Amino acid sequence: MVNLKKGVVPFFLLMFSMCFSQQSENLIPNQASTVFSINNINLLNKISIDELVAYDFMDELHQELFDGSTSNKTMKDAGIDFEQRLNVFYGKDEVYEVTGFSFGVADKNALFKVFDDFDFSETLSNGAERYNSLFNTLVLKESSAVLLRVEPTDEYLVRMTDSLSYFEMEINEWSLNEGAIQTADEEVDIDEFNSEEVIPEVSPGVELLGEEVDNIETELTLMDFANNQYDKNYWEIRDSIGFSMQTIGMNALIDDLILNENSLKTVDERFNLQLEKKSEGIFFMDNSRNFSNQGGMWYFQTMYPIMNADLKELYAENFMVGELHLDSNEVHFDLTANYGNQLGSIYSEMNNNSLNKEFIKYIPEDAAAYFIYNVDLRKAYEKAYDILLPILKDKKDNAMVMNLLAIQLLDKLVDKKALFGAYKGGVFATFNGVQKITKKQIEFQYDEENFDYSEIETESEEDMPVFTLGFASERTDLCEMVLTDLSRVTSRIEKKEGYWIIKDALLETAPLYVVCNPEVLIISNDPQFIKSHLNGYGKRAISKKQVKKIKKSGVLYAKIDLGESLNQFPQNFLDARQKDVLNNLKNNSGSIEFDSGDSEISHTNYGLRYTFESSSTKASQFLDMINALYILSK
Amino acid sequence: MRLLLFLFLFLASLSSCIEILDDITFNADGSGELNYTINLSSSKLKINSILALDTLNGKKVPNKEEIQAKVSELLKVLNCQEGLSDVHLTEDYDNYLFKLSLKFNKVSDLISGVYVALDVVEEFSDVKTSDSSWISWDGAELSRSIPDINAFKFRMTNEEDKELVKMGKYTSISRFEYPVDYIENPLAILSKNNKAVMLRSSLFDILGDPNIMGNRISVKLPDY
Repeated sequence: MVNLKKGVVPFFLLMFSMCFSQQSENLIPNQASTVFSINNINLLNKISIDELVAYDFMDELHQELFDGSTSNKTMKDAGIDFEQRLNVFYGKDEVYEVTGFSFGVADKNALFKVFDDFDFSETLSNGAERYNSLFNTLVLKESSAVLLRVEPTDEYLVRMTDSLSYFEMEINEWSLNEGAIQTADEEVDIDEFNSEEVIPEVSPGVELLGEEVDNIETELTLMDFANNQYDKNYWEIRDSIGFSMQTIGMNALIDDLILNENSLKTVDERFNLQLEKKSEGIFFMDNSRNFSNQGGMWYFQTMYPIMNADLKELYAENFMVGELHLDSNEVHFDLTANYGNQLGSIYSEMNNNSLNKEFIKYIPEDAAAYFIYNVDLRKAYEKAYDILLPILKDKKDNAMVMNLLAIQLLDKLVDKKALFGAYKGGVFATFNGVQKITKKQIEFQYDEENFDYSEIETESEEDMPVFTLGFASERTDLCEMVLTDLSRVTSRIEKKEGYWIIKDALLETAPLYVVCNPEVLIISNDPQFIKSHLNGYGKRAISKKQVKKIKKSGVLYAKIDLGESLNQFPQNFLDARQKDVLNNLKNNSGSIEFDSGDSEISHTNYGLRYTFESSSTKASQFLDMINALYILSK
Repeated sequence: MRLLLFLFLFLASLSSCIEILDDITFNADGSGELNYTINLSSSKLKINSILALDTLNGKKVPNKEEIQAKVSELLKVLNCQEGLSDVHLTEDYDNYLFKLSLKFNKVSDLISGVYVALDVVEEFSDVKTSDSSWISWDGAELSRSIPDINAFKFRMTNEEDKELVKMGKYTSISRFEYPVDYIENPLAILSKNNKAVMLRSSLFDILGDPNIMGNRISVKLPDY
């Protein structure tokens, strides 16, 4: 009995401490749609703070911590509790962007020696302490802390500023013309003016912030109006609105997260389950919220707003969870994309296909990077048609009926066999290094006598990536027909032995080659490929062992040799986000391999293996990978 | 409406290679001639790659036709301005070289003409009227600068943009009928024939302080 008591008491004490002690994961706001949580942060205890804050996921801290307070300090010196998780999160709706991270605190004094820009602001009603710096807010609750940044989205801020800016301009003109002074009664006009402005729907997770925001426009208009500050320029108005929105948004967030304890963990069981995983790091992304915020969807959202809204329900069950594991020289990331049955049945039809063997022979063994994507668009189309049509048919407005009519007519009139035979959906691409191309430019030459100038043409060299793209097609004869006809009207298109050349097709400088082989349509700018490997690389193609690996993979397989590809790839051709990822991985060597399993009705599994041969630490490699994933998922 | 904003952002992102040349001849009677050249030829690879995109950083990329339409709209406005004549624009889309030339009766005609034209474009309409002092010429003394381009709805947001802009060049040439007597800006250089003054700077420095392109020049009028 005594022994039992001896065992039970510590057990209950442990349970009590687990249940009631504050853990950093409880401080992740429910507005976060993407979370990286590092479990084994002991791994990071030798990472210097300077090194850590240089990562993109610590960007919010960057400007505050680079003030000398972090020099030669490790995370251990910063008073961080390595028994708790380090959670990096990001969330965005149409009004606000929320970023930050939460962590355990072992030594408060040490923490504020590093976070020395934060000033005490207040003790909240539940005892949590709030500290503010110029850009961020830090909340300490028991033994955990969360650093938060709330910012209005650029689009919303610009829209609001433009409307206020326009409004002020109108008032000014009116006042000048009529010589009158605006009275309080006329404030009604503000609402009338604003009534045409559609306040965007905010996702359920950010309702609290959204509600607060509804009145900002009116309040700010009145405030500026009362202060008679019509001479503010555009940027000053924008900064004022931005600052006010930040303040309101931050207060709402703290009320929600700290006082009402509505964290992501408490409101989302899926995330809660993910937290139980014991791997070095976990990943959570709620795609149902990311779907509406994706910049890439702008075309669909603009052109088919009604359909876009209706199709959102398809994505309601979409979320991704992942686990990051760290071995001696490998980081591997297992990701599961979850979705509802309706989407699942479309994905299953589209993705579960055997490898197109025709692709294999066009991928050289020494390709710096390549990918193969095996989809069958016709099967996906048929399934999507069956699923989407009933959803859309429930709607009765005119625009939707017209859209539906067009879709159904096209389905009946278009020869789908011919259409999807011409473009089956399967695609491969290889990156074969870079080549130098010569470009001409104009420079001015000045005469010192009178500064008259003349134009001279000079030449310079620029790097261009060399690639080959192939599309599965049963009707490459159609491409042949198009090129034959076009070659009659332009001398830039010429038929050669086994291929077509389109002169100056790439950026009006370099030629592009088109090869219409029976099963694959190939587009390339690689002169070596055209000269020697029109029918494939033969023994120089990827090995049988590699092919076996690809066959085992599902819809997607990609391999990147970091040293050969990332370090060579010309950055001029990338957007800012892609450049960020590239630069973060650039100084490493090794390889990245990405594959997928078959698509099930509820999920698809993906795997990413990053094998490194770098002299830097495991922790740095781990953080590099987290950073790349963070940028891509942002 | 965002077309020009995009263009400006776009030009800024290409500023590694952007070269702007403004060349103004000032006659003793107050009239003169403006030649304004934007040279993007060394960026043509990048321009072509961007024009091939639908969007860049979330903004729609205009096609060549849209750019041409906007440029011809500006040209029409300039052509209608009182005091301006012989307005010509040469567009070379192979090299991305654009040259505007026009004659003016008085510098005030030039200033008002430019502002009316800029006002057509939403993104340039914030250039304040107080900037109308950027140039004055009484036949003997010239005071000039360039309009404050910070007033545009444009900000360089990242270090990369700043690095690129550092490489861009702005050249300003002022020509006179009579020899130059005095130049205020020590960075300006005088031609050997003493009748032209050149001032060059990087676009980055100008964005930081537009006043560095300011200058006061007086000419030696003949004794009649």
